[in-house]
Amino acid sequence: MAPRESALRGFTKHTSRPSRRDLLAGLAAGTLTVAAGGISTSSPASAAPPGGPVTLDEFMRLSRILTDNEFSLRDEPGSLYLASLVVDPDFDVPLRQLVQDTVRAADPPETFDEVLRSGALRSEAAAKTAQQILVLWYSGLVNDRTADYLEALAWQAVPFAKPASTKLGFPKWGEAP
Amino acid sequence: MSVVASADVVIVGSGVAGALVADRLVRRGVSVVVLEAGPPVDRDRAVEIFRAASAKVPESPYPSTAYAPRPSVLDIGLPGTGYFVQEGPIAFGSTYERVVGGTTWHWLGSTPRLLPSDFRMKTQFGVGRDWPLTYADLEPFYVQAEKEMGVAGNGREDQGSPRSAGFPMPEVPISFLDKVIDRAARTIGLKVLSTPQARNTETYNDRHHCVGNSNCIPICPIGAKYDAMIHLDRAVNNGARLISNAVVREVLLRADGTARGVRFRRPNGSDDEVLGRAVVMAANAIETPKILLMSNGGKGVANRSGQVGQNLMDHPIALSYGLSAQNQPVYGQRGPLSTAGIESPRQSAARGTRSAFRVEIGNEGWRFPIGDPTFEFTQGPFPALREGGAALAAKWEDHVAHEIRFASLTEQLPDRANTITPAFDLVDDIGIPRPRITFSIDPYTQAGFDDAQALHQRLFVALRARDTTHVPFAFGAGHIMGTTIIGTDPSTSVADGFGRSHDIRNLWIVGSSVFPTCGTANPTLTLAALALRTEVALRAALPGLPAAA
Repeated sequence: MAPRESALRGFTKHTSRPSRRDLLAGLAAGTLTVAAGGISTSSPASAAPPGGPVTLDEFMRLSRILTDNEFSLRDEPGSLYLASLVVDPDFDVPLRQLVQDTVRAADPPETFDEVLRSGALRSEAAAKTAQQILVLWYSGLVNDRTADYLEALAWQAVPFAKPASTKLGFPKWGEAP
Repeated sequence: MSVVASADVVIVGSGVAGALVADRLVRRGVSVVVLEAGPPVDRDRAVEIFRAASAKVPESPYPSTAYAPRPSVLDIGLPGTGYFVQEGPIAFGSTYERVVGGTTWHWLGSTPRLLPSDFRMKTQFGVGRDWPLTYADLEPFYVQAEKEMGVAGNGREDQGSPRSAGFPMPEVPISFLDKVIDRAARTIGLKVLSTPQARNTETYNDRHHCVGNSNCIPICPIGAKYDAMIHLDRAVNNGARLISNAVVREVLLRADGTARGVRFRRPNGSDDEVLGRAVVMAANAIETPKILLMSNGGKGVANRSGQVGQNLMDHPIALSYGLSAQNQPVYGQRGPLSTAGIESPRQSAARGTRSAFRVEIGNEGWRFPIGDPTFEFTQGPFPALREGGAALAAKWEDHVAHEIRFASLTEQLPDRANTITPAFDLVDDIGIPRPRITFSIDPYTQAGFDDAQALHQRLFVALRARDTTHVPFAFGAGHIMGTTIIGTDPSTSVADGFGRSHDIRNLWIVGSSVFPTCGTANPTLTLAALALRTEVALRAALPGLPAAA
């Protein structure tokens, strides 16, 4: 039995892979929180950037930029992801700054690489906020709840498969896609 | 408290064993009442619950109830949590459902037969016990069980279990992943065989063929995989009475020591009774012994041997996972969760000193060791800082396309020290004792576990696999066995070779609790065959049994 203390806390990188039992133990114990538990910035930005709170429209535009407009992203889960970020002190201010530097910019970047080149992810806090946004969209999980399963990008980004519980077709698994 | 029903046969448990017995009996004019502790399941609703669950574990579509709680893998290894009272020294890792239809709702569907040698462990290898029947005795019932459940298989492949009839359906096509592994396995003298499975490959008994929903565990959305509802519904349509939300708490005895019926508790805490000429215990290898031991004022029934609740067994799983060679994607996450395995280690020459094992090849990526892809993504290394866009999507796709895992089922020996007993001091919400479990893995099984991991490593090398992991502890297989074992000697076994109690002549036991040893085959087909054999014996004995009263 792996020690319970090894239960993951979020999604930071790991040098040794945990077991499912560790992970499930973390879920059961409430020590694993997808939205907030794992990313900790030692000194979250405290100075509020200019501009008002991030709107859902702005968050969705930022999300599309971070995913290179490769996917169809829906507002409904997006609103839950945004809500989880703005209540988290690690992400609230960096998110506002990230929006300020991207979707509110005079010449907004259109792709993730353009965001990188713009310098908007130079700070650790901004980079981790972008990382968290991507984790939310890929996992569909927020605050230990499923916001979106069938359209979570962890499935949508795997074109050879279908989300579990949906039809692939008989017997397509027998050959390479 | 009142008597709410009486019938020729009272069946406790609505899983596959109870459902098969009920179906056979009512079709031959025997009246039957089936009691199920939990509620009915609505398949479509269960699929929605699964999709909404944050942890997509085997139990996720079936919410636990206060009156019929069930174990969950989320609780395993967390002291003080969950339904089981785990006394150690290691945690018992297998779970089950308490719903109408039982655990076949979330089973994988694999239906290998036992080997002839599995029935003669003591004689042939000097370990474990011999069964009070032979493979030949059970073979005709294997044929019947395969027909009832709808088993697809490749009759041209020698699985080590002689067959008197072909499979009811052509085999489930093995996966592309299986084929990649087979090519590598052959380089080290091994061979991948398709796994017989209760999964339709054509329309069978009015059920659709599999369409690759890739979700056998925890729920097949279309019922292409066999589940006990098929026989339970048919039994009810033919006149069986099903009482759900009825938690059986004891077997009632007459003055002459025969079974009079059972007493059950409703969710509101009230008790009622059902009477019968015969009682069939079909409540799985945890609840069946628990009920027997709770009976007779807590002194237990059918326990002259003292072995009710002892010899608890699982197929402790050696689990290994990794990524296939960079130039060889395997494209998992498609199709039934397992379509093939490596069977030769089931007949290991070292058997007798080291457990045999069966290698199950997974088609579902790393869902078993890590979790659903959506969950896996939260665990790193995705995405790295300042990584995103199309490049991230491509990297993730590449990762998922290379995921492989092996799960080897080892053969645990019966050990009287591995027990389930009623925890009279720790009751559930309606006052019924929870299962107290003591469990350990013996050196014989551990040796097989080590051998399985060594074989996994050889496969990884042959595959030029990367980023490999061997989980250092055993996972539960969900195969709960032993606890009311059959045998010829009433002093060392609970029931005879037909599942009839040595002590109570109108009490029968069906399900994997009767297994004297567990072999390396997934147990459902064997328990189904045994249940069909028991039904014949029970029906023959029925005229000589006292009337229900």
